Amino acid sequence: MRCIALRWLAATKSLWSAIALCCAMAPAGAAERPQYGGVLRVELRAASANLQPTRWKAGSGDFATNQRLAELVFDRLVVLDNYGRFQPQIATEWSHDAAAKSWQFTLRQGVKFSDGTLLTPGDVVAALRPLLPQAMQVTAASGGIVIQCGAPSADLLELLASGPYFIYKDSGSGLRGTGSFVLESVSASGREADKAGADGMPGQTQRLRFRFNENCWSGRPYLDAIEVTLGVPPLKALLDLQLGKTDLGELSLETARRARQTNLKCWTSAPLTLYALKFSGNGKGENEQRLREAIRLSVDRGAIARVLLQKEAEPAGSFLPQWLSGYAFLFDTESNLERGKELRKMMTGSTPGTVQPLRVTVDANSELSKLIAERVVVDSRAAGLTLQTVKGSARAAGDAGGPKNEGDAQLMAWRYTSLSPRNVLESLANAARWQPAEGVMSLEADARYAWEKRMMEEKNLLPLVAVPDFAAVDGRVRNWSPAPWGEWRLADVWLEHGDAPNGMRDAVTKASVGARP
Amino acid sequence: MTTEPVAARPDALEEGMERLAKKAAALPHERRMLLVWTNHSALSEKRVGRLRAAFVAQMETAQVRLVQGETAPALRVAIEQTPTQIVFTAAVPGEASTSFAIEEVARAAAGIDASPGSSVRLEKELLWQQEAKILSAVLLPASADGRKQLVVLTEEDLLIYGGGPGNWALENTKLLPGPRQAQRAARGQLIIATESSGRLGVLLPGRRCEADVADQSAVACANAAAEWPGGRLMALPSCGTQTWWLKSDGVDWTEQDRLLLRSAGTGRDVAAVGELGMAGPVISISAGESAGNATVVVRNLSSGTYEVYRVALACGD
Amino acid sequence: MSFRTKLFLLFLATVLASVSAVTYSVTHYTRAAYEEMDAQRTTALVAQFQKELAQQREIVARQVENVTNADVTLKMAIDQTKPDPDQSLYVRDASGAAQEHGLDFMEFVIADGTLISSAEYPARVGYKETWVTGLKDWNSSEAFLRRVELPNEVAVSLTAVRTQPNVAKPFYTIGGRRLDENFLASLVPPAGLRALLYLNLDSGFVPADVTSSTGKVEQAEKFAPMIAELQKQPGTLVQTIQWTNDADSAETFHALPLMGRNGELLGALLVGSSRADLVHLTRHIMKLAAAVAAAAMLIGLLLTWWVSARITKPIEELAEGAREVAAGHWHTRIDLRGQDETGQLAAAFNHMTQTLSAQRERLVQTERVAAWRELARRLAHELRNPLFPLQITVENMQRARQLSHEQFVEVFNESTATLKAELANLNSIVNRFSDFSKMPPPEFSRLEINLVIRGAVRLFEPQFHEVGKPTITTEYFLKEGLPEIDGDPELLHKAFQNLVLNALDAMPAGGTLTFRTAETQAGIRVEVSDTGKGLTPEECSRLFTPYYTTKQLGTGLGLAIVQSVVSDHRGTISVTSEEGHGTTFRIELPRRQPGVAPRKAQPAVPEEPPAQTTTETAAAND
Repeated sequence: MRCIALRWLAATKSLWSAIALCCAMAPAGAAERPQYGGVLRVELRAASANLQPTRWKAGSGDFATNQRLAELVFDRLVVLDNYGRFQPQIATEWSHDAAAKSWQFTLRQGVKFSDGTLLTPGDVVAALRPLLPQAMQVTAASGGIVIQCGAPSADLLELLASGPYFIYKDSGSGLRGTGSFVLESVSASGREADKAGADGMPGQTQRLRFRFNENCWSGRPYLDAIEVTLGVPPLKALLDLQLGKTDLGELSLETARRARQTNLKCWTSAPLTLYALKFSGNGKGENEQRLREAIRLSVDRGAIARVLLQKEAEPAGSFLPQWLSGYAFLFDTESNLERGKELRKMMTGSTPGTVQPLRVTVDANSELSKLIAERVVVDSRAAGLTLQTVKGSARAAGDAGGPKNEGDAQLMAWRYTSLSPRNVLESLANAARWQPAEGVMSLEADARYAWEKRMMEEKNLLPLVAVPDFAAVDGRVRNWSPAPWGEWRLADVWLEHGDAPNGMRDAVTKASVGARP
Repeated sequence: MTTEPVAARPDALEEGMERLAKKAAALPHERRMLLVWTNHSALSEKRVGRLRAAFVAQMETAQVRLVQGETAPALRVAIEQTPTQIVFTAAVPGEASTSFAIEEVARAAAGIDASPGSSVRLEKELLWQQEAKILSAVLLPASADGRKQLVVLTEEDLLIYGGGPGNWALENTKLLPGPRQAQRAARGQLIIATESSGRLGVLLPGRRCEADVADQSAVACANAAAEWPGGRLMALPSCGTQTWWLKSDGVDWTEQDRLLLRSAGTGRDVAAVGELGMAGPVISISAGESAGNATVVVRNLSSGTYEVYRVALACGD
Repeated sequence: MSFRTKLFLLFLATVLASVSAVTYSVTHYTRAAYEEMDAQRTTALVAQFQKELAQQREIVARQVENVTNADVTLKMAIDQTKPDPDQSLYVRDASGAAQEHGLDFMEFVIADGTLISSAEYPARVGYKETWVTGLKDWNSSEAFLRRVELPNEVAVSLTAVRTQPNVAKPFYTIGGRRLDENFLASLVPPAGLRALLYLNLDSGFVPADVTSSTGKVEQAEKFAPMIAELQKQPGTLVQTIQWTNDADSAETFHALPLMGRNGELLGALLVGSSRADLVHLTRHIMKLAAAVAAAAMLIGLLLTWWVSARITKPIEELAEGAREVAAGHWHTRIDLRGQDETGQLAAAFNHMTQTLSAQRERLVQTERVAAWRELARRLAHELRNPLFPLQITVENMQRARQLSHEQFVEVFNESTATLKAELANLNSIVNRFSDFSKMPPPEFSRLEINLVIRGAVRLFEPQFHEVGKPTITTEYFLKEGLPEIDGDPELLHKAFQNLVLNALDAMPAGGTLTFRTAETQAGIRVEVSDTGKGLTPEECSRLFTPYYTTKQLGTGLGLAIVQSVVSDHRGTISVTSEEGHGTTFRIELPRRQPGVAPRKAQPAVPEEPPAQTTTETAAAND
């Protein structure tokens, strides 16, 4: 380790010398070299985290937090870069047959878990087997693994590069990964840190400390450690950023606006959380269908996204967002209040929403959910429909879809957790309790579009708006390039003027010359 | 070494577009349709042009008549981009309703042009500064002996400097004919004539002038309605065949401005691929010594001086 | 009701009336005084509330003005005047402004009425608030009450509206404070009073909308009628509400309506004044009055007993004496006590009975003499009839001595026949008188009267349809199922026979003889009616006098026998008649006779009257 460090130091010195020379001659614009050391302080909104991917529920809000933390300690087989290219991680090569049913992955040699044990194909199989869909079988092969799919799966790489598909080992005393960091300690508020043995304790967990993994196959990360504090409300995170008490804070829609006004460096993802109205009941009756259609036509998604959410959200006319499907704009998002009123007049009997109010369960802990639900109520009222919001009791942590549905409908928040549009649609179809006649969805975009269109016609789920993630960083955080789909990639981050790690010092001068303007 | 199942193929996008055209042609459609083309991806203009041609050709093969400049039902083709795919959609108007066709091509298969131009950036170099107002400036291409010339337009005259950054020497001064410009409305733009680098065009309010920096001839002006350029179109072969617009952010003269670089052909709502902060408002943007350069005049709000910068495109890490 | 009871009741009534009058007066004036005091306290509390409300109006108006004049609001207003302004920028600003200025509600509305920011209902941003654009000059208006719609409820707000003065297009700032129980907390009601607030936010009455400074109010549904009336006709209202069955739980409420800008009822201040004190006082007075009345009753009881003892006892003795006299004890005397009115009354009574007794004896004597004279006359008349033929016959026999033996024998035989007949007649007359004088006492047994009647009439059947004689039609209206009575069948038989004979005598030209029986309360009633010539009233009155007869040939004993029989049966007989239309004899007989064992009577054997004798008897009675 020390040898490696010294060699690295020598290389760094000569490299910096060369750079300093170049900077004197070349016009301004040369990139600054990263600095080692320092502890990145991160504040996240979720109150708890779980690093065990098998316990993550598709579509749940906690998925993002779990995934971001898992990225620190685990690797995937492949990852997707910002240019649409799959980059190797644990897998170095991959290929498939003509039908894209049988995939072979060659594993990187010499990869070690954080406890020093070598990664084997069996470990990869053990990690992936409980995570993969039932139609996919994973087996170890010489130097790699084979994934056999029951149906053509040209989107397997999208699947593996996102979601819960991390490679880890359950050593009995905790989860071990091959990532850039190791979970060092977990502490609750007021209690001394425990040595991390477990995979993250839900409920009382408040602070996690990840230290660098010296055995990392991709090299030591620039940071010495990352301290993650959970359960921090966005407003507090913003204040802490302004006071310099944290380096990276997860914000909300409202606090993101404020952050921009204070000149903090802000990041907004692609729309990653879909807010939709999920109806109880099968909705087969004529009145039910009319009611749902009337609600769909009366809700002004554009106004919700543009005005109410201050242009931070996108109106959602379909289940998949534009950034994921590329054809979401083909779905109509315009409201038609007059048609909604007509449908209301045609409704007979005492369907909820007519004489008695249709009760919409809302997550009491989410101000955004309440705001959207209230707007749905107001818009529906304009069409003569009576809706009423009801605060729902919280589901168990990690459950998808928002609070328990105790009314006639529920405003659910669905997190897009996969890069595979097909996978996302299938998950949403499960959530909407919809199974089309043809069963398995084809990979073709046309088929997906048709599937999505039919799912819309079922009206079990009514998409409203899609809201991005927000975060802000302190000025000393460098090289942070999160993916639009929510990956934070903290492993590549370095801190300006960070503390020198373990005797390793840089001769780098301050980044004034050649600094990128 | 990585073996991707879908190797990058230069024609992958075109093939995808042809498949889309076949699908669209097979859908119920009007006899005559007006092609409306939209690109929301990071593909270059050139590439998008090729795709359009491929689509039209395929449609013609399928004997679907596409018109231009006429009133007809619109056949809308859009190019979108997801993290892994380039998505082509066609909305085909039929007699009763509109049908849709969708086709996808993996971005990895699309080749290097499919990648966003985020590797291009701007770099600046201070050439000249003075207290007197500078309306515009242009750094002329170097002559055969490597000597460069910097032409500075003030409210009253053209100043021609020779030398290089840090050691410019005044070589010539040419007075601007006609009445002196009102201070509040003083404005000017230097334009390099393409056929001869020694000749310059000078845009003034209500006038267009010409001057030759190589000799002592006077500046000749004529009345004309000036069309002020909104920015500078730049290109750099090492950055690819794409062209970019260099424009300022458009703040007022009391704030610090930014230079923004956007792909040519994209709208304002597309994020800039590069930006350069300046110490004050950008007064003018003119040509540079090459297509990958521009000469920018900025007023430094801290010092009050007028500064001339050479702004260059750079690519790669 | 006895005099004692009446006296007692009168005394009691007098006492009760007096006590009631006093009690009523006292409670009335006490209540009036209480009401006045209560009204004063209520007025004071209402005035306090109104003053507090006025103060709050000013505060709210001032706060809204501060918000309107703030730089950020001005910037917002200016931005909205530009072409195509971005309204999404200010969605959250109202919430911040409300918090900063301590208001519960805050909204910003642009010139066309579009809501661009709302603290209380952000979901409504983009919708129109047309009511605010109706008035141009809000800056001089004071704060008013307004109904505010919230996501899950409706509230009442004290609202002020101000417009930004420095921009061309109106920019409205609407701010307010919630009117709820916290507002009541600022009031300090005196002891015994409390203030409640009702927010009229629904069409009907909602009990949960009645609040006090401490929260919800128990049994709020009892306010329903009051609120309903207030909703119908807003105005100051006073009503008393009884919380439990106990009267001291009553509380009088003054309702002060809280009106909105357009005269709509948005709520009501209910000032409640407990009536427990008044009720307790009233009860105390009542208890006192009851005690006095009870004492008066006791005293009255004693007094009346003593007074009545001195008055009613002599009267009772008088009454008892009168009853004795009525029972026939003509010599009843009452003891005289004192010289007062009762003593005088007793003396008068004694004198009356004495006089009555003497007069009765004289009357009896007179009647006896009259009856003897009448008997002597009748006897003389009866006896004279057979004696005259006797005399003639004896004279004939004396004259026939002069005749030949054969002639003498013929005359002798004829005369002896005549003598025998007349002697038989005389014997009959004597027998009848003897019979009448020694009519046997009745021997009672159970009998059916209908059978006796039929039996008695059957004997006369042949006569009713005798050839050459006028027809007598008989009609029977004998009620079936009559109860058996105690009677002497033979005597009754005889009585009915006499009535039939009497009726036959009254219908020499024929007619209808009707028999009716019916049950009465005491026994049975028998009516015998004829369609003869009828009787005059005088005849009716003397009909039952022995030996009184209207017939030329009659002993006058028939009806007397009937009356005697009826009298022996302890019954009554009466007669009604109309001249020319007939006569009806009505006999009423009791069901039971004292000392009679229920022994079935033998049916009376109808006597076969000797035809001759009957006829002669009938003729004699005429």
